[in-house]
Amino acid sequence: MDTMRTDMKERIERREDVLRRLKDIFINNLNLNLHPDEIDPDAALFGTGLELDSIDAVEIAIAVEAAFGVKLRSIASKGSFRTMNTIADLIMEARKE
Amino acid sequence: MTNQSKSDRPAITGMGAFCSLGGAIPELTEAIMTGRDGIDVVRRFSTAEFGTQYAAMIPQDRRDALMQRHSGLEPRLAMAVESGREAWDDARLGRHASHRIALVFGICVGKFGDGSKSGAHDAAAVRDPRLQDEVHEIAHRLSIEGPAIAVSTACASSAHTFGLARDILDHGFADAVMVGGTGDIPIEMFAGFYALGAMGPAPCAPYSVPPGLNLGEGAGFLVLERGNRRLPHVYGYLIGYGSSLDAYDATTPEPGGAGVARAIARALHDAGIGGEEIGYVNSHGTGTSENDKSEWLGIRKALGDHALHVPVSSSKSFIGHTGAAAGILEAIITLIAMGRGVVPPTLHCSRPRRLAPVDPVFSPMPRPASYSCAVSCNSAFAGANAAVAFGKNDHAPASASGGRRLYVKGAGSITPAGPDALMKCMEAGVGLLQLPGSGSGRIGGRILGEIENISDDRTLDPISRFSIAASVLALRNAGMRTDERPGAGIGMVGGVSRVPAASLREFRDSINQRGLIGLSSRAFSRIVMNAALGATAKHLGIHGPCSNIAAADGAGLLAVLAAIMVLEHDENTTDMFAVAMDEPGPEAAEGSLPSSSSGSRTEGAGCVIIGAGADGRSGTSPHIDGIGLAGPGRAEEAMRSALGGRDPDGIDAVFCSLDGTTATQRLLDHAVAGVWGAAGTSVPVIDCTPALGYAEASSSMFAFILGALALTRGLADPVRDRFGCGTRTLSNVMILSVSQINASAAVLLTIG
Repeated sequence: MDTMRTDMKERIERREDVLRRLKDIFINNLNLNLHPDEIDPDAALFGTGLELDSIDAVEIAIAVEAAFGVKLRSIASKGSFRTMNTIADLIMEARKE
Repeated sequence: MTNQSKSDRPAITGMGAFCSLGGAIPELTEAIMTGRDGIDVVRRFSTAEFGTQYAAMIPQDRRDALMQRHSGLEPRLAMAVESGREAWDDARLGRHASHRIALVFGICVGKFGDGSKSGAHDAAAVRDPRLQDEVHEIAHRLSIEGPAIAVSTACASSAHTFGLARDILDHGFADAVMVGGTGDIPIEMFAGFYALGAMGPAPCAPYSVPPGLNLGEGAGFLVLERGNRRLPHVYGYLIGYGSSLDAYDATTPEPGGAGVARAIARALHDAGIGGEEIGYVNSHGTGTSENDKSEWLGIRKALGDHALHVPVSSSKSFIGHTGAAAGILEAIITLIAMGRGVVPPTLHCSRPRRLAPVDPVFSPMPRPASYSCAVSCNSAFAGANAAVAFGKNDHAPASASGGRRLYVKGAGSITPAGPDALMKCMEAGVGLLQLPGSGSGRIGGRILGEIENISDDRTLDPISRFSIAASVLALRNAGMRTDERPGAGIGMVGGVSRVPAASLREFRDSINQRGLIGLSSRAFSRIVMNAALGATAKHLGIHGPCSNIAAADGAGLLAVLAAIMVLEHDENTTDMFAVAMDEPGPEAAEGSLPSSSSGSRTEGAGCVIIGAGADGRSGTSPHIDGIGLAGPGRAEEAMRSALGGRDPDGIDAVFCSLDGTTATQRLLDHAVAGVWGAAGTSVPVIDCTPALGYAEASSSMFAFILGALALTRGLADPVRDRFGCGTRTLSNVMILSVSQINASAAVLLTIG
């Protein structure tokens, strides 16, 4: 039981780290004028919410590949870029977390 | 009304091409008929960083020979001159007087720096490139002395030339128009498309696998002439044309293809035919998933059930994506195929992708097919679409359009002298004097924010913001809201001069800092000349006809002319925006106001809305009473066209905006003397430049706006005295643009 709890805790920490780095990418690479705490990881990225566009999608994919070694474009359709949390899930899954 | 003549369909009397398939039409034809493509491994520069090796480039030996024949010319200009001469000879254009031949030429961003190295980009090496200078050079080498106009809508540039060329012929401003385009592949363009994830890993297979595009290079020309003359030979007729705006995104098309559908539907309506008469569609078909799918949805929407039977193929599988030359080269291939009784195949294809055309002509060879109408369509960054319909026969003559009265519905401007300085001139009666704030030479961000209601300009560069600001002001001035008229009856024509300075700088900086592999996709999308037009259309929700006149000096008035001609031709369009914008960069803008005539340039934008038909406002607004267009240095001819036989003595003032050179002043004086001196009278000439500075594209728009304002508000006494107008009320004014490098343009405005 204790081992499971520790594994779970570490997994949660790793995911939080991914989310933190994703926020940095969004702020720096997309020139978003927001503080990390102001970004809702469940907010829609495109259309409404953060109102990103197709070029932002490109920049996200490039930056994520550089930062995490995960090729987002080959494993995801644009629909799965829905929120920052869904991107974090994709990254975690690709790294077999 | 204006002097539009009966519209018979333009005949196509000459062809020329230079591309990866060959250096002339016979080689191009042989390649299409034998299924030979021009896509190969790139050898001109290393593509190791880019994960794709393929492009349709001119083989090195043929390129070297070309450069030898045209020493001193950039390769893309050399290809243009070579294919232009082929088309000229083919059409035997020496039959026409040079000033009765016009040029409408599609061209996109070209020179970024020393393209052979991927290293540092020296800002000094490429300062503020002007596409019109290249078009002027082409006109000169082809002995064209009529209007020569650069059209720049990125990947659809040479497709959009057909609309303007047809309108020029319909109005009798020329007897023959050469339409064409050119595009080459600087390494920066390769890097840019790679950054967008658009490149394919293999020779491109539109509608099949793997997805992705290949770039290509080449140039082409067609010659259009009035159909009702004895002609040496005719390849076909331009029976219809349509264009539209997606108003959706800077690089990706609207996913449902609604913009493409509108352009095709307009072309069919223009031709007076139904979708069932179309025997072949030559699609834009770049090979990317987004483009191919959304374009097919648009074709299906426009052709209805017939789309399930019509062959749709992409010539980009033969020649790659040739950028600004795509429209003309693919139109040429369409005409050749129709004439030969075949449909060209889509090459390199195996299994169809989901949402591919029902009949994508997957075959290594063309398929025999007899048809007499075809459509070629193209789409571009910033959502500009065009569709051109060709026919073997000229079909019934177009019905003369209804002769609606066109009027100036609204105007807006943004200059360093503040928003709507021109309006303030008139309202406050201060006339063309120095206004507060004008000395800074720059437009403040806060002012823009207040007008556009855009606080977050993360995705917009300065020129886009100027354009949006001016258009919003014009919209408010007109008392319009675009959501009043759903159905895309409102369109927009842009007038531009140079590659947007801030975006070009950001693009070059990103390469210098991070190398080609790390270039900014955002900046790449903004260095196309129609980026601001697209951003403005998106902000305002404008989906109708479009074009982008990159003519530099006087582009604003040329955009107004183009907008007027669209409204005269197409009764389904109710309003047209014409918006001119300049962003020459901080170095050029310093010290440019208020009395500069030294050639330094100012920033800003101006917009007018031309409306058609009668509504409550039109009775009190200035009306378009005549238009004129002629070659550079032929301003008298342009003004006489606009006058249409009226007595010049009835003109109360001429408005213009000169660039400050003695040459331009002389052109103006000569033209005014020719019209008024000959009649034994004189006319006050109002040059707007001293008060507002000189903005290459926008100044002629400011002159138009001032002329319209002068008619509606009257000029205040200080201004009348300054310009010797006397005390008479203004009823008729002439707006004039004189240029040595593009055209002479005139619009006659009247009120009451």
